[in-house]
Amino acid sequence: MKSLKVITGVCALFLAGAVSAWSQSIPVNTKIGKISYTEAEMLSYSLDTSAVALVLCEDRNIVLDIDSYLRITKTTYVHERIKILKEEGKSYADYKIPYYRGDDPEIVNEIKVSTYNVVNGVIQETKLARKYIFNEKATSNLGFISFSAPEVKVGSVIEVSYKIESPRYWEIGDIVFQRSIPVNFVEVKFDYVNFFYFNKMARGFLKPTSSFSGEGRTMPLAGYQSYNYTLNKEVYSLKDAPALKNESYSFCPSQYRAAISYELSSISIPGQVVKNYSLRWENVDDTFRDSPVLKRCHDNNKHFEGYAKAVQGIEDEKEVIAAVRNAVLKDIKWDEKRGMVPQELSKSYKEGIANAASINAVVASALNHLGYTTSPVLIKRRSSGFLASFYVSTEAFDTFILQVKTPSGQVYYLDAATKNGYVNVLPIDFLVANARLLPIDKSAASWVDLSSLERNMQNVVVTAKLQEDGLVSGDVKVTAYNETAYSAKSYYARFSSDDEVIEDMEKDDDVEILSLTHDFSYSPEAVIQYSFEQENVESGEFLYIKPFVTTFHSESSFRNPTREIPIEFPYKENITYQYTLEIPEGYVVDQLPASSRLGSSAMNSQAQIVSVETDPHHVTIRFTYRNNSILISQDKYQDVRAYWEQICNLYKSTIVLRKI
Amino acid sequence: MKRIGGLLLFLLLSLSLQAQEKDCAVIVSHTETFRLTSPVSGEHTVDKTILVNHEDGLDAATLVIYQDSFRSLASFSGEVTSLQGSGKPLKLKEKDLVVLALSSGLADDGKTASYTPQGRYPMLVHYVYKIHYRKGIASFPAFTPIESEKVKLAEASFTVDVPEGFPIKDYSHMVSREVSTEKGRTLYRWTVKDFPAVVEEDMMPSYLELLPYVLASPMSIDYGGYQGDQSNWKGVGSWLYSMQENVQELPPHFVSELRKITEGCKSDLEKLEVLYAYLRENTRYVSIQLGIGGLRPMPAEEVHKMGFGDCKGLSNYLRCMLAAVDVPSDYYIIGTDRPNLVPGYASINQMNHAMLAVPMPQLQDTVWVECTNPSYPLGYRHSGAAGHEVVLVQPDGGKMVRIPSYPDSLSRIIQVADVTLAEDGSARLSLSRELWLDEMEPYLGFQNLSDNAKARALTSGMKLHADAIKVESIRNNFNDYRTLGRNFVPVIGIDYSMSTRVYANVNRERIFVPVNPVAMSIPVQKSGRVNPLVNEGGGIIENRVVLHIPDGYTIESMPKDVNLDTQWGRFQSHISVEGNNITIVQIIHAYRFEAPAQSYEDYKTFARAVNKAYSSSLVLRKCLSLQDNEG
Repeated sequence: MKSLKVITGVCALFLAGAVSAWSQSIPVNTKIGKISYTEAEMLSYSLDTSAVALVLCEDRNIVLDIDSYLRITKTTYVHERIKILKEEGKSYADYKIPYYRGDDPEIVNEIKVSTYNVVNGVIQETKLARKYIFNEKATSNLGFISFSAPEVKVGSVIEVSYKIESPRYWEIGDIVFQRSIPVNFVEVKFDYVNFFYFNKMARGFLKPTSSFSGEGRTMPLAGYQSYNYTLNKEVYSLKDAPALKNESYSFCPSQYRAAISYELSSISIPGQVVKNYSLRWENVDDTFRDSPVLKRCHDNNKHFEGYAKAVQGIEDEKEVIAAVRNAVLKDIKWDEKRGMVPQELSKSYKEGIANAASINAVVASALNHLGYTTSPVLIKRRSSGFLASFYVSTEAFDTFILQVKTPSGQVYYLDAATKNGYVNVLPIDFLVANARLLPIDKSAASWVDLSSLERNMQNVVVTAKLQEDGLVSGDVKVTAYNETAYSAKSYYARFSSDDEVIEDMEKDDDVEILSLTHDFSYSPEAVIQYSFEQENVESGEFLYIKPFVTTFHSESSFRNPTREIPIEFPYKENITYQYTLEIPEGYVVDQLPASSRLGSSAMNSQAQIVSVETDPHHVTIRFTYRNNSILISQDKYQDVRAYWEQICNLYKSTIVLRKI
Repeated sequence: MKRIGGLLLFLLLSLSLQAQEKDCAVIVSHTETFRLTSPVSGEHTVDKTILVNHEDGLDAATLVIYQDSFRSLASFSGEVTSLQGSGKPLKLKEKDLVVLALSSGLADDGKTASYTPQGRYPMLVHYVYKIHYRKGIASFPAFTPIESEKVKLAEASFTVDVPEGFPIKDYSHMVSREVSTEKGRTLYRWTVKDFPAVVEEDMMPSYLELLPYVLASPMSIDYGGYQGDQSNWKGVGSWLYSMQENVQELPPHFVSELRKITEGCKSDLEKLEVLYAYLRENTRYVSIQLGIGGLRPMPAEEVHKMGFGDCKGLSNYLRCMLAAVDVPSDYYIIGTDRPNLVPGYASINQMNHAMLAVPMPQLQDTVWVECTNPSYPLGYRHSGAAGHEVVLVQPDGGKMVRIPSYPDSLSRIIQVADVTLAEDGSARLSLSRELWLDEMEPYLGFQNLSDNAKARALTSGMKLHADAIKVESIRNNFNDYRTLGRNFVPVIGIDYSMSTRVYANVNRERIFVPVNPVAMSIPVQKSGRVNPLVNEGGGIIENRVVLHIPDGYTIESMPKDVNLDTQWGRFQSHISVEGNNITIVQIIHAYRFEAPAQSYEDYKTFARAVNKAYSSSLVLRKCLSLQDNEG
């Protein structure tokens, strides 16, 4: 018996679709091959003259189809038309379409590629020959269909269409409307049988227009009578979407592009099938509870008795947690990969190496064995974008860390794998406002805020002395706490020797570093000490000394005059820099840097410099900086930029001494 | 390999402990054999054992096996053993290799099989694998037992096993060679023992001068169905030319069109200019390397139809277009990564690019055309070609020639700034930047950048926040080749203006003004120098700043003039004052040099003196009389 495709009209609808989109800047007929002279002849885009290319139109149709044997397929029809405006834009003629080629592979077919150029006043089409469409089998699961449009020049219009047939119906993912080049018009249609239910979330600064409708249909089920259902049709469109490019101080710039995310929450065929995926977060919690994530955090192993003996006598609970972590890492090395699902504890011990999920599971099990209630905390990393607590998704999380409740009732967080962290000191990518705690006792899960667990501070003390030869020599001690310590340790880890660190530190300063030591033991602190020598400028009776041996803000940050997306600082922090200079006989202070105070309400931040001549032979410069914000809206960018500039200017302050 | 016995474990641990800090890994043994089974096929066997002491040595134990339509992995096994702990080896099979077939261009038939060992250090890694060669052998595998820094070599050998009387040629560096015959086979064997680790530093000699390696190939070549002689460059050229027989046709209507668009041209140069512009407007670079297509150009007709091609395809296409209008030219091959070919050793594997040479007898010159980037001005020999030995592929064979280089003094950046400084430390600037020769290459596409991208390019490296950046004009002399011929030096000039809120630091009655806010300091190495110092190209950077200071200020302090003339270069810093105008001129002329490691302290002294001059400041002070009035 032949299977009957439910949705037969959609293909025709797509192919015949002659949607005329007239209200955006450049009128387009979205039917394939219908290129207007306006599109073909235009040389720049009036809304963004710097654009190297422009999406004239994009239309996508995603169809979730089910046949009479209840087999589900997803078919995506893609059509886009791109105008090349500058030389740089020619790279938009190169395509690599990814597809899944593992079990139940996806199929990319019906590929058509044409380029349109105006030649002697006539629009000429050049089609891409089939032999120049390549299928790259990159890995066992991933392939790419690669091709490049022919005869591309500045001014060309490229038109590409293809179809992707996929059994992976549960992956709708993100429908993105905005790109790194402007988009004149985009329309996305999502047609699905009303057996499917989705969670949806819109994001970005632009809001596409939308319309929703339904069409009555009939489907004969194999061996059963005909069944009436509704074909849901959701249509989104957006016009004149400006380009949104990546910027610095942003963990996940692409999350600000206008997009809609779809997550399949359930399939419900009345009288036939009901399958729930992620209607609510509780459903997601259950999925993880049933997985090894929770189970392996409460396992047992013969090594735990040894750990119990090792922590006997340690009274401080944080130190107990750290000691257990260190003992596990002595037995199991981290392979520098994260992972989501831990392997069996015995396998980790046997191989002596494991991913972070497995190491966290071992540490959790060991701590639970000692009476420290330890539970997994699911995280979506900052670099993966914000997690919206109202948008339920099984794919929301990409790793987990641990919450540890001590016998005295204190609560701490730990990522056991990373050596630069500590108890309540997490990798910066994990400092999220919404993380999901999954209690080990299987009680209700809840949201926890990891963005600001401890105070992050950096204290720098400089003791300097002006020598007879005019050089200033001295010692610097830097003590960093919590996330600032994490940053310091991570910075050093980039280099393979102290000499390389010194070379990097000396790069932009007039200071020569003579010796360097550091203490980066597993703790919430990082201590760095170094001695230095500094040449000064002598001119006649004056000597000019720069009191800032090191700085904390870079002039190259926020160099761009404008910004389109919010600013994300890694964490809140306090910095104190205290510089004391001993002045020998024969000199007096002629001028000290003016004491001043700066502030930014946009950043909720203050900076201050205070200069004091404590006695005839000593001056002290004290600089403090406090930043209480992590996320700042882009409309405050000019304030932030101006404030940053002023702080960088403070670092150029000079002490002026006069010879007597 | 069984679990490591106690004695061997002790020896390896000792080796690890004895290793110096720079020996992050030790190649305990490395044996390679290539056995030629027929003129077009062979077997390459590798057996290597690496002791990794530290994470920095992991590269030495990371395996990458390249395959394509001419070579494929036939077998693989391995073991990874952490010497701490139980010493139980982790056995590896072919399924443990990560296979990736993702091309960097549009498409190629290459794929890699790779493996990165994991474990505690020290760690012993052992690989044994075999690669089958088929359909042709252009050269035997290159023997490079050391491929990264901080890796010591205990012993390594390479054997090429060919039928007796089969001629091969070879070139070796820092290895010993012996030849023997047995059972109708000739065995060429190279060995190297106890080779110390190399440390990577700035301005060091090329790895080809420091490391042992062997290059070997058959004298005659049979590759992808094309036969030839590889005993010298003439033979290599003939062989390449034989692949180009059926790729030089253009559609007749296109030939007519070419003749029409060049009919008003009065010289071959003018024809070349017209066709080069055509290439720029109608083609682009796309890399497709499939099978013999990795060496054979895409037919000119296809390039014409598709509007794209790789370096071979585009160079052949331009050659065919020029031939259609009676302008002769030579397709040539070049290694852009090094200027000199291996002396006395001709092999296609030394080349990575193709270009076109167009003789211009009326200018007593040859135009060396880069067809993949037609924005280069005609007549300019770019930094990947100037001074390089190349091979012209001509009908009667290959001919090695050297592309003329340029004097270092013509490589220049000249920056002129007119700065009006205000009392609050802000300033308006009017600037001009001139880039000569290779310094202009990064700016070839500058005109087409967005305003934001232009601003970023111009202010990169400046120690200030710039606002209101406006490009006033962009100019070049790219048409001057017509009149200057081989004396032509391309120059791009950019005039721009900007303002900044913080040009100088103001503290009460003093203003601290940086002498050169655009200068880039010279990096200086902290650790003791190991390698000789080499600077392969000199050049000149000239900065001129005219600073207009606010009324009512005098100069309290000014840096002294600096004049350095050393083996490393010449540096001058001079400040002159005229009324309210201060002119600061800083010029560095870096020389080309080769010097022993011991001379690094002298180089450091020079670099530090330059950096100090770059980072110095003027101090302005408000005149006392004005201060009293304001007080």
